[in-house]
Amino acid sequence: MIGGSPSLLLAPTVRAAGLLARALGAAAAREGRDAPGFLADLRAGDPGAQSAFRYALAREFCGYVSGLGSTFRAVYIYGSTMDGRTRPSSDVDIIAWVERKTDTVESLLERLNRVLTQGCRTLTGCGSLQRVFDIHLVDDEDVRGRRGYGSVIASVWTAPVCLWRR
Amino acid sequence: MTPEQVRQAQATVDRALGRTEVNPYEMFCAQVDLAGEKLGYPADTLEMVKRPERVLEVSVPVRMDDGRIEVFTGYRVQHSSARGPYKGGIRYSLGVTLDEVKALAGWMTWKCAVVDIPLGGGKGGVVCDPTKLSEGELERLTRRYTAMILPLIGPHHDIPAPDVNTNSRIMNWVMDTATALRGEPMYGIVTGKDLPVGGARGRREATGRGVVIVIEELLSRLGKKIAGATVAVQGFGNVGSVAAQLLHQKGARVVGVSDVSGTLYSPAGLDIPGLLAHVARSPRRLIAGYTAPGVEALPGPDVLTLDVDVLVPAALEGQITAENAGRIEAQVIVEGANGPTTPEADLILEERGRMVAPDILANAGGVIVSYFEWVQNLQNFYWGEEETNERLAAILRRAFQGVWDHAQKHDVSLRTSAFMLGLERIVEAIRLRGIFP
Repeated sequence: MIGGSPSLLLAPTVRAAGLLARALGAAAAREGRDAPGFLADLRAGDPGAQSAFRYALAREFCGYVSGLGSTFRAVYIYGSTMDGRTRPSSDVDIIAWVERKTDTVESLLERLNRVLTQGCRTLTGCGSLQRVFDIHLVDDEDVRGRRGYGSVIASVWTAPVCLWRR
Repeated sequence: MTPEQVRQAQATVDRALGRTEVNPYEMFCAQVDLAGEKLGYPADTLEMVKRPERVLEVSVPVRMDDGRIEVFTGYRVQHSSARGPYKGGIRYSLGVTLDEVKALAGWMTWKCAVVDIPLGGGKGGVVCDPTKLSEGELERLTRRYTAMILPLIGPHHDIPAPDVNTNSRIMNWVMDTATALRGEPMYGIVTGKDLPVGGARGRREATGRGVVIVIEELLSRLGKKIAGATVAVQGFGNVGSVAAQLLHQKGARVVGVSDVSGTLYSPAGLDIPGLLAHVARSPRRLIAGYTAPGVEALPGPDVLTLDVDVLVPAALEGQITAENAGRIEAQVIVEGANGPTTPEADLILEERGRMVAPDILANAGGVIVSYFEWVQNLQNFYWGEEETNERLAAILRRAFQGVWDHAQKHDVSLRTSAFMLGLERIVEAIRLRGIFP
């Protein structure tokens, strides 16, 4: 008999509550609110609060991936989080630049997304939230060859905001 | 943010989330979706494979020693019978939840498919703290739980086994209860029993033996051999001690071992038979107190970062983390325990070119010999240990080859490869059987 959780059932070790709390605290501070008041704004669907919270979540995402060896090169954010059109069910559009796209990276990010989505649904009361992050992985070749979202990074017209770079 | 703002934010989130835990079934579904996407399976097929075929929740009233009646909650989840009768353990723990049991039942479906034994996946559990139950209470709980799930289990249908906080004695009770209620011998209704009542020879050593077979296979793919390789083993229980013993017999130099009582290190290689004799004499079966020339004691987790060829984490889950993965020297890591490598560490190890043989394959020796026990029970004909070991090696070597080839073909890690291969086999069985009606 072997106990414990098998590898494929393991969640990323980032505890949803810790990451969400840091994001909530940072967004509340940015908006000049206390945390309970800010959460009330979030639950009421206030667009400013939604935007600030998602931006803070994206920053937490950067902090998380920056601690994972040197696989991640940069993180960009674009879409509704940046242009104030955020709704309670909006996701955060992210382009994550990695050295090489592997199944291990994909699996980790998918699991992270599910853990955070579960936490966010409970926290904000928005059951219709499909996923917290819409992550597009690009690798060195995508960026060099301006392929897919690799071309968006260098776009003049729709340039995403670089939140973190190694 | 000020410290006060941090504290307030944490308290606000804690209040809002309550005791919400990460849902293991959600993690299971994420993996199925990813593997399914790579294999190009449609969403409806994946939906079928993700969902358990049948879920049973039972209430288990037990007369306690003080005369009270306590009602426990139990579950039996039958995830998939596409490839054979449901197979999976029963755990007793306060942490048992339906979602956990569903996820673990799904995991068993995959494990049996990866090693290609003709069984499906199931799991059971009772929400209880067995350390607080007397012997009599534990027996009454087991017998009543067995009676409550008996409509679902059976030698040709669903075969439980030991899991967290359950053991051979509890399996004997399950078998005896089923035998009494059905009025005929029911040896094949459960595996993991003691030898005199239908247990299998070689069962205790099976998981550790399987770990060594996987090490042998993985090293051979890298052009190396066990003889002369240096090894560190974390955990010196049923899995780690057997693996260390067999590796030592095959000429490996086991330079480090650890358990809850500490770590022993000897660059020249530990005398494993001597250490096993010490542990057998130790009242709590621990390595602490062992002394020999050239052997030094290290701080606990250091065994993971020893400069060795092969690392066998055979203790607990979550031991290789983002914090220590960058310091792991071993080229080959073979997961004797369940989930010893966190998802973040997996990424770091991959980036550093380390090969990880995943738990679903590396510790499958146990379930394979469980399968043998069931086969012997059905035939009422029992094998010698040598035959068990030979058959175990044949199945595991073939399984390893399958996972290895699949990884090469799809350019994925061995972990993802195993999951994809399992999914392929399950979907193929569903396709061949068709959908009723």
